Amino acid sequence: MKNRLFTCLILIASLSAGAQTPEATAPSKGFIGISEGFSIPSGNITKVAYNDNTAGFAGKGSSFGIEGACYFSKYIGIGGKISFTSFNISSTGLDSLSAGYRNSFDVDRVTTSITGAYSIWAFMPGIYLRYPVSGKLSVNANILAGFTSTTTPTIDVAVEDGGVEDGTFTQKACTANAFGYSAGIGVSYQVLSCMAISLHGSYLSCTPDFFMDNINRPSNIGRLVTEYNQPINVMNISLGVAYTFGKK
Amino acid sequence: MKKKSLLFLLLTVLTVSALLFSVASCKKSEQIVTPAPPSNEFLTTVIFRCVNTAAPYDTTTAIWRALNPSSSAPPDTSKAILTFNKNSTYTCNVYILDESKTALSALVQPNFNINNLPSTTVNVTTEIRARQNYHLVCFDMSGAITSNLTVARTDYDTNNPPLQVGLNDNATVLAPSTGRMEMALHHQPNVKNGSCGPGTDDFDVYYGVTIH
Repeated sequence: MKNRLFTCLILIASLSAGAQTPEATAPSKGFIGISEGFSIPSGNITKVAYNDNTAGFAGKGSSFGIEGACYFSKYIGIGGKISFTSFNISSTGLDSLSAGYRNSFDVDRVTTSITGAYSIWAFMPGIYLRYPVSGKLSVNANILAGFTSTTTPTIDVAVEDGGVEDGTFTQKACTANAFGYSAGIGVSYQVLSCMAISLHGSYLSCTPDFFMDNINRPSNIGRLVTEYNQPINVMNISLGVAYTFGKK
Repeated sequence: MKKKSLLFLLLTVLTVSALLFSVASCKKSEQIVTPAPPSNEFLTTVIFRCVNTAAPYDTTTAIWRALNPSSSAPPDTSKAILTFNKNSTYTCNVYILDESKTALSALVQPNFNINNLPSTTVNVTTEIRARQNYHLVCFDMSGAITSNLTVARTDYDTNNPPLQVGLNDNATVLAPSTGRMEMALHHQPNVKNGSCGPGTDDFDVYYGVTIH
């Protein structure tokens, strides 16, 4: 994670250094836009290991964001982004979780249901950088930090043995807030005088501390997660469209 | 002006579609049913051994055996007999074996040693002990011993609060009488509450009892 952040910082620093060269472009004073794409979580949240309580069984997902920035020079500005990232428990993870519970309880059958998904709302102001490559094309980067609110899915496990229903236990969805940061880099292309499209990659990280409620667990059997405090790192790759304003 | 209207329309469509996409992905739910793999172990032999706490030479061992549980043949109960002496207290253990792969000549006898079983005999008791948090041994008396024999479980699992298991017991014997003791191992996944009601039976066996 630190290596990725360091790489992003190096890229941004390089862009800033390159920005000393004047370009014959007419960049806008700012933009406001939306973006949408897919998200790839990494770290323990993606681990598929029933007996490891740091495992989160997460798969890939999607992201959506609204962001804007005002540039107070040709290369640098300030702005912010509100983003929503969502990723489900992977099918491999669901298989592993269900098989694990079945083995732990040593029963004929368990039915494991997942409702909802991991979701992260992020509200982050920060610094925006850009490097105009040509009149229409520019390379952009940003470093943001702020508030994140993350929610986990609900997991229901129905136990059946010898034709008898032995109840359903639930790990309830829970939400935790945490400080988070994001670093991103991308390119944007001015398709109209007031509209640009972009391709952007960003790395989002936060470490929420979840306290899970587990319902109907009378016996101390099998995987039981009551607290989950692991870094959640997500790479978002998104396409966006932006309204640009204040052409110089 | 036309361009601005077009742009506004485009942004609106993109925003709405993105929101719908995000909400749809958020609400997604999935379900999987995981059945049990084919079983490779049987509970063929259930043994109840009791040792008089005041006279260790006074030992009684009862063996209930059904070498082929899926067959309709009745179990072998020729050794399923407990003999107690009146006004005594016994320390008892339940042993569960899989002798389905054991030669008839090597089947355990009443004087068996649990630590020296034939290599083809599986001591399933250790597995039940490992899964004690959802197992419970229950005893039920019938006949004249009902008021003269009491079996009390003495071991506890690691549930919170701890619940009895029943692989280790104390038997309190009173007046001479005869009757029958039913012993059942209840499998209570996620429903163990200390009572014999919930769950299903892993085995349900009977021993004849005589109190001298």
